[in-house]
Amino acid sequence: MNRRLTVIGVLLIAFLVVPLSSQSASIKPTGKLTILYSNLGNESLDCVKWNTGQSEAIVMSLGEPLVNFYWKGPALDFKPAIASSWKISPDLKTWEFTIRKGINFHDGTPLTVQDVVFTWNRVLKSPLSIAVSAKNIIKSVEALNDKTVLFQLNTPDPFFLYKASTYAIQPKAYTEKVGEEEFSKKPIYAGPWKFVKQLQGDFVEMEAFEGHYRKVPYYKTLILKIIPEDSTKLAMLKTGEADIIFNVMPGPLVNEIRNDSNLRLISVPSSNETYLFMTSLVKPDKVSPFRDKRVRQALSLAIDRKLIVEKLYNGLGSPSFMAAIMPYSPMMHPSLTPIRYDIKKAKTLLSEAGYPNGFETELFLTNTEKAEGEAIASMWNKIGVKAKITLMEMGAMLAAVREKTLPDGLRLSHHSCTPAGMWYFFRKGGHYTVIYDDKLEELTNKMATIPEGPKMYEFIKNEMSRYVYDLVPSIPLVIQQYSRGVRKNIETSEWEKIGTRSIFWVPAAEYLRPKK
Amino acid sequence: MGKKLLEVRDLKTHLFTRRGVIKAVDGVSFSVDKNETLGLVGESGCGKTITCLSILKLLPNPVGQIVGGKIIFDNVDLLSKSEKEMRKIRGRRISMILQDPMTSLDPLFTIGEQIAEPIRSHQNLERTNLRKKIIEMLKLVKISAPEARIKEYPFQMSGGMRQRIVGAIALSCQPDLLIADEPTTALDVTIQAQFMRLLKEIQQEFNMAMIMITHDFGIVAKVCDRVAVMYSGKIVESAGVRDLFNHPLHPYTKALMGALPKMEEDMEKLTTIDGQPPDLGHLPPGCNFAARCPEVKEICRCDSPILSEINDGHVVSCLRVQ
Amino acid sequence: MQRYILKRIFLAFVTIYLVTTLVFFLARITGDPMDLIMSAESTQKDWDMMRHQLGLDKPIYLQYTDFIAGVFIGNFGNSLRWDKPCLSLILVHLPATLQLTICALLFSWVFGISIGTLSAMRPNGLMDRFGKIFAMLGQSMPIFWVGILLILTFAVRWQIFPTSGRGGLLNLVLPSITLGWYTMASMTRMTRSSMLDVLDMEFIKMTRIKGLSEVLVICKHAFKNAMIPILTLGSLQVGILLGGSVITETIFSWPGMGRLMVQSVFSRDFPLIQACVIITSTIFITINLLVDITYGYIDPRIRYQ
Repeated sequence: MNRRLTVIGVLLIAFLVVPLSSQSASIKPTGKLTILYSNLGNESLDCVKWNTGQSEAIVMSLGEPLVNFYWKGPALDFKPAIASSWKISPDLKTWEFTIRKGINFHDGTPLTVQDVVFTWNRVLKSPLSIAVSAKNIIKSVEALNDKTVLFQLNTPDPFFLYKASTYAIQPKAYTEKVGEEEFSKKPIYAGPWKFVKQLQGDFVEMEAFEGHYRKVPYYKTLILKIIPEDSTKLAMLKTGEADIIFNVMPGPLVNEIRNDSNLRLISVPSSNETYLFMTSLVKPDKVSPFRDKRVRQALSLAIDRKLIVEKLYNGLGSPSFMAAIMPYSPMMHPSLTPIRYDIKKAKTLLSEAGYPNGFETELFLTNTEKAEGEAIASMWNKIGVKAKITLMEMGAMLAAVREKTLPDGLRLSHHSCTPAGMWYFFRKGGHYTVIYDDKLEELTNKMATIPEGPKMYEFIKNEMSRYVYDLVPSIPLVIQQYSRGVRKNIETSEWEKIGTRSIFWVPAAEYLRPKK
Repeated sequence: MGKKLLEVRDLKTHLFTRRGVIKAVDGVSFSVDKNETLGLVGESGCGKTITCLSILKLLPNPVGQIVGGKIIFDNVDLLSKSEKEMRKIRGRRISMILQDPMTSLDPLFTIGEQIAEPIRSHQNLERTNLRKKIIEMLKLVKISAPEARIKEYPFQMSGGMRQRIVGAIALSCQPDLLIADEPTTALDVTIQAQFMRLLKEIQQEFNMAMIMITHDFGIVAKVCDRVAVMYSGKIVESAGVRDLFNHPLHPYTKALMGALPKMEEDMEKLTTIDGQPPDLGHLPPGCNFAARCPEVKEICRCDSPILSEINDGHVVSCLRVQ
Repeated sequence: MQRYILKRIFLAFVTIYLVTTLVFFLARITGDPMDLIMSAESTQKDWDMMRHQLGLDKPIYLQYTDFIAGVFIGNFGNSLRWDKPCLSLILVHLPATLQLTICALLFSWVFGISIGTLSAMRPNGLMDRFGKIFAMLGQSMPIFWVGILLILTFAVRWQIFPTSGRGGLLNLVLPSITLGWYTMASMTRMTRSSMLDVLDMEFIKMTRIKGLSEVLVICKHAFKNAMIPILTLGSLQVGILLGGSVITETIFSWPGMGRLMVQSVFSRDFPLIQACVIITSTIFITINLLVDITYGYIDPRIRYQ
C-alpha cells in the first residue's frame, strides 16, 4: 500500500514537473538540427574570405553583420543588426552607422566601433572576389565616435546597405591576439551560433550562443553538412539523420519529398532569374542579328516558359517576363503582361527584321545547364533559328565571360531581379552589363540617385519597366523558386515569416524550433 | 609367398563426365600378397591409374565414383571406410609414387617440410626426432648431404633426385603397400634403373608389397613377381611373371610383348598394335579387344569373355583360349 | 633477396618522383585557378596581389623547383580553395579513406577468396553457381546504383544501418559492401581459376596421398600456390579502391580522399591536387613494393633469382 502511494506520488510530481521543464526548455536550447547542403563553397570561417553564396551560410550563422537583409517576395527588407540605425547623405556617398550597445562576442567581450572598423579595413585589403564589389567603391571606413562608424564612398551608391550586410563583424582584439590564421581555425563572432568544429569537405558544427541579442536559438547544436548526392540527402531526411535539405533542386527529389508524409517541401520566394544574354550587345561595333530589338523579341516569344517551368523545374518557379525586374512587384507597371508563347508573332517579327528563314547562332552552356539549353534550342528551331550548343567547363566559361571573348551568340545565366541588379546590368562598361543602350543607361543612373526604397520602386515602375519590357536587353526565362525539404517535426512558422536571409543560403536556423 | 594383403574384387569405377558415363574400371579383380610385387600393365588410358586411385579412394570428385566391388586391405573393406579413416590409411599403410617427379612436389615448400608432413600427420614425433627421421629417409633414398638438402626447394634438384624425394615421402611411414605409377617414365634410362634398384632394396628392407604400374615389360621382368595385364578397364590376363613371359595367352599380351624391343632378334621395326583402344563411353558388344585382335573370331564380336584360370595362378579372359 | 628488395625500393622512389613531376604539369593543364577565385569586378591590382599571394606569379620552372623542394620536407603548400596546409587537410581525410579501403578490401578478400576457393573445390557445385551469380552482379551493377539500393533497403526501409557519414562500425558496413562488392567479384574469379589450376596439379594429389587433411591440402598447399596471382590482383585493387572510392564516398558522404581530390580538381587547387596524388600514389607504390617483397617470401624461385 505504501509503495503504491509512493509510485502515485512520483507520477504526480512528474506530471507537475514536465510542463514546467518544457517551458524552461524554450529558453534553454536543446537538441540537434542538421541541415544538408550540396556544398558550402570554400567553407571559410573567415568573414572576409568566403567566396560563394553557400559559404556565406557558415559565416553568417556564426557572425552578425551591420545590417541583416531578408528577401520577402518582391523586395528586400533591411533590418538593423549590429547597426541599430543608419543615415545616408543626400549625395549617397556618406553612410553613417550607429552601433548597437550591449552586443557581445561569443567570448563575452563587448562589440565596439573599433571591431567594425577593423573588419571593414580587412575587407578593403582583400583581393578576394566577394570583397571586391564593396571595396571598389569605399574610400574609407572610420570611427566617428564610440558609437558611430562612417563609410565614405568614391561614387554614390544607393545599394550600399546590401554591401554592408555581406560582412560579419569580427573581434579586433581576439584576431590580433591569435593571428588571422588561427582565427580562421577557431573564429569568434557575434552571431547566434558559436563555432564548435569543422571537417573540410564534410561538415561544420555550431552551438547555440545563449547571449545573443537578437535571437537565442531553440536548438543546442547546429550542423551544416555537405552531401553532394541527392539520393543520400533524401535517405538522411527520411530516416531522420538530417532535418532539412536546404536547397531542393528541381528533379526527382521534389516529388519524393512531396509524397512522403513525414516531410514537407517549403518553397521560399527568390529574386533569382534565369535569363539569356547576347554576347554581342556589349560590343557596340559588332554586327549581330541581336542588335535588332525585333529579333530579341521574337526569340523571347518563341520560348514556351510554362513548359520549361513544368518539365525542367518541377513547377518550382514561374515564368519571368522582364529583364532584371521582378514580375508582379511594386517595380512593374500594371499594364505589362506575361509574354505569351507565340510562334506566329515571332516569325513575323523575324521577317520584319530581315530573317524570314531565321539564322544560325550559338548557345554557350556549362554542363549543368545543358537540358535547359537544349529545350530552348529546340523551341527556336520552330522559327528557323538554329542554335548550336557549345558546352564549356566552368572555369573556362567564367574566364571567357569576364574577358568577353565569347563569339556572337547567347549565354544562359542567373541574376538577381533587384534594383541593384539593374544598376549592374544596364550601365555600360560594367562587368555584368548585358546591353549598351543610351536611354537605358540614363534611366538607370537616374534611378541610382534615389536611395533604395518605395521611391525608387515607384521610379522604376513608372519610368523604366515599360521601356525594359519592350527593349528586351536580355531574354527573361524563369524566376526560380527555392525549396527546402523539411521534416514535419520542425516548427517553421517563425522561420517562414522572417523571409530568406541574405543571398538565400544563410539557414537562419535560430528561427527553427522543435515541434512540441 | 604368404597372406593376401590386398584383394580387389570386381571393382567398378565409373567416370561421370558431361559426355556420358565412362566405365574406366569395369570389374577388375586382383590381389597382392605381402612382400609381393604386382605389375599392372597396359596402354595409357586403360584404367591402371584409376584402379590404383580407387584403392586410395582419391578419385577426381565428383566425376569418379566407385560403383561396385570390394577392396579388401588387411581383411577390411576400404569401401566401407569413412574419409577420415581413409586418411589414416593413406601415406601410412598404402602410399603412392606419381609418374612425374617434376610436378609431384610442391614448389613452394622445402623438401624437409614435404617429407615431414606425412610423418607429422601419422606419427607423434617431437622436433628433433622428426628431423632425424627426415634425414634418415633422405639417406634411405640415397640423397647425399641430407642435412643441407632439408632446407632446399624442389626447383634446386634434378629430376632423379626429385623422384627419390617423392619416394622418401611415400615411404616415410613405412607403408605396407606402395603403389608406383610409372615412376620412371619421366626419368632418363640410367636413372630409371637406379631408381628401380632402390625401390627393390627398400621393399626388401621394409617387407613391403608393391603395385608397379607400367607399360614397360622390361621393368616388369626386373621387379615384378606377378603381372596383371589391363585392357580398356578390364584385366585380360594375369599370371606369375615367368609364366606370362614364357606363355602369354591373350593376344593383347602377346601384342604388347611384340612391341618390346629385343636385343637378340635384330628387328628392323618394332611391332605395333593397329587401331585405337575402344571408347570406354561406348563399348561395343563382345570382347573389347576384338576390333584390334589379330586372332579375332566371329564369336569374339558378340560374346564377352570372362576371366578363367588356365594354369595354376594364370588367368586369362579370351574366348579363343578358353 | 636483399638485392631484389633494394632494386624494388629504388624503382619505387623513381616512380614516386615521376608521378610527382607528372602531376605538377598535368594539374596545370586544367587551367588557371585564378578564373575561379577572382570576381569579374576584380581590378588588375587585385589579380596581381592574389597571384602573388598564391605564388602563381613565378615562372613555371621556379614553381616546379619550389614544389619539389617542398615535397622533400613534406611541405605541399596551402590549398587554394581551403586556404589550409594541404598536408593537414589530407591527414584529416586520409584515415577515413584508409578505414573504408581496408574494410572494403577485407570484405572483398574474405568473401572473394573463400567463395573462389569453395567454388574451385567443387566446380559447378552449388557454391560455384551462387558465387558466379554473386560475382556477375558485383561486376555488372554500377557502384552508384548498388550504393543507393543498399541505402534505400538497409538504411531507409529497415533502418539497420545509418544512411551515410563516418562514425561507428555500423557506418562502415554499407559503404564497405558497396565498394568491396565490385572488387570481390574479380577476386572470386581470380581465386577460382587460380585454385582450379593448382588443384589440378600433381603435387596436390601427392599431398592427399600423404594422408593430409583436406584443410591442410587446401589452405596450406593449394592456397599458397594460388596466392601469387591473387596477391597481384589484390595490390591492384588497393589502387583502385584508394583512387576509385570517389563515387562511394559521395553517395555515403564519406569524408575521404576521393571527394577531396575531386573537389580539388574542380577548383583547380594545384597544391592540393599535387599533394593528394603524391600521397595516394606513394601509398599505392609502397603497397606494391610490399607485395613484390612478399612474392619473394612466398616463392623461393623468385627469392633465389
